[in-house]
Amino acid sequence: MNKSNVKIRAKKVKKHFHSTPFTPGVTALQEISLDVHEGEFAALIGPSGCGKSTFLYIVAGFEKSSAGEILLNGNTITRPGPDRGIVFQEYVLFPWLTVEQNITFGLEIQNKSKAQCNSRCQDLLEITGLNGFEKNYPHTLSGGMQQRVAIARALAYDPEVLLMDEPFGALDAQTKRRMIEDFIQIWETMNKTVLFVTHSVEEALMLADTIFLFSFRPSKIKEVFSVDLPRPRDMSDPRFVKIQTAILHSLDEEVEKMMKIELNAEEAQRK
Amino acid sequence: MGKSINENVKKMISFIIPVITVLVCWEVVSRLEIVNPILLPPPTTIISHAIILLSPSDVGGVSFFLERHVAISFARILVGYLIAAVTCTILGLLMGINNAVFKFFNPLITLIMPIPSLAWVPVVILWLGLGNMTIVFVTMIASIFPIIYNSAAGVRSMTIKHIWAAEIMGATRKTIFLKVLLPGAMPYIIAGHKLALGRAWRALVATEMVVATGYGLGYLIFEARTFMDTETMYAGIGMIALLGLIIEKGFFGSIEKKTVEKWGMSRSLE
Repeated sequence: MNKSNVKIRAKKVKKHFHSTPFTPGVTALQEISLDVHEGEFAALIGPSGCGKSTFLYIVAGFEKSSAGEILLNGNTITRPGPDRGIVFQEYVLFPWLTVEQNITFGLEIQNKSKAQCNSRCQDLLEITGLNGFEKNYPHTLSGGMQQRVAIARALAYDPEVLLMDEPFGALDAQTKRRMIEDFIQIWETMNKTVLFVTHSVEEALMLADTIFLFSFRPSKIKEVFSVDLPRPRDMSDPRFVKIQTAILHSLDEEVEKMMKIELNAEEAQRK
Repeated sequence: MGKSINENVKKMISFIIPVITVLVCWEVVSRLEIVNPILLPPPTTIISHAIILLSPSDVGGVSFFLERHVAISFARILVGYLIAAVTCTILGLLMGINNAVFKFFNPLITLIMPIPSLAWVPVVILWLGLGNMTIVFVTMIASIFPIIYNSAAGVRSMTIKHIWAAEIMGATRKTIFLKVLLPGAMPYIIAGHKLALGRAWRALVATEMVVATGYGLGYLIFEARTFMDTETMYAGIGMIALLGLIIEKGFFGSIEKKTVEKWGMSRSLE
């Protein structure tokens, strides 16, 4: 890993949502500054509602920051583009396309030749373990398999950065464990910079080089943890447990804050 | 393959059983003269009468060739529905993707929609006269609203994340429309067209009864009444049901099998 090369740099990113008829206005991100290096696997973790997904969407270019900026290779991100790939928790596949067509969607948009699409698709089917499913429609696949298709689709057009929004959050425990193992291998073959949003400490520790802990909103980066352990990681390794305890402790404080604020809001409403 | 033929036969049988049951009861009620058989002729008589009407021999009265009435009704509904299908699908899709278009047309549609299509008939007669144009026009009005509403709703049914997923891969607005919104709207569009054609049928038959052009199933049924020709009336009604079935199962059924059912976007009820 080349630590000197900064891939993503967030500079004092702030995000405020204006009030709508259904929701009050809220400042999701107070001031987020962070660096992610080339080839690094970075996890964003924090209590629910802390704005970690919002931050990811700003990196993706889906949302605009209220202040501050995010640089990708030194250029300010203003809109979505194929130098990034996205994987959502809900898979968000195109149900009218087969597995194969879903995977090559990005390549076809970029007018790649049929032969290029096919060979790239074959590679990805191989890497993601989807061989034999290329003609299936998404609804015939299990959640885990659908998420593999979503990962293959995001990697197909070879983006520099892979953005993942709680990608294993909707999967059952066994499937999730298997997906994490397989995804480590995928990541090691593809060697991409990954920004990975999760609420699972265990997931972040199994996967990431660096873990950014978000405080409750309006959120800042509360702490940064480096996980310098070889993969695949052993959850009973004392070093693993030590970082896990530290993160859980720090996270609990934020969850506590969140609970207090929400309880107060509820009480205020009752009055 | 053999299995799927078997499945189809099973489906057909499960469809026919309730129909046959009702027809048999009807036959019995009519044959035993529990109900006056002139008012309610037995189905077998109606079917054999329909076959006579379909055969190329003039039996007098208004009936002459049943197939001619059917063909003319069919042509009218086809023209009326197709005009609405093309224009209103486009309008609905535009309303789905563009807020300004939606804001302009939505109030107009909200106002016009509750008006029954038949309320237009007297006015349209004044404009277009007692002829095919009037019937086609009313059929078209009847088809408009479900198509517009469902096409617009279909476009809006695609989640923002589907659009984002395409955007990040570099899709232009045009590509997003053609490759994401349009196929994503298919279940809604198909449902809209089904409703539209159903409404068009009703408007057609009713308008044909009012605008007596001498042809059409509505005219046939209405005129047969003056001769107390109940067999022809029932034959005409039966024909409407049969044509509706062909459109529903044959046309829309096969489109749905090839699209939304295959994609798992809409579950088959069978």
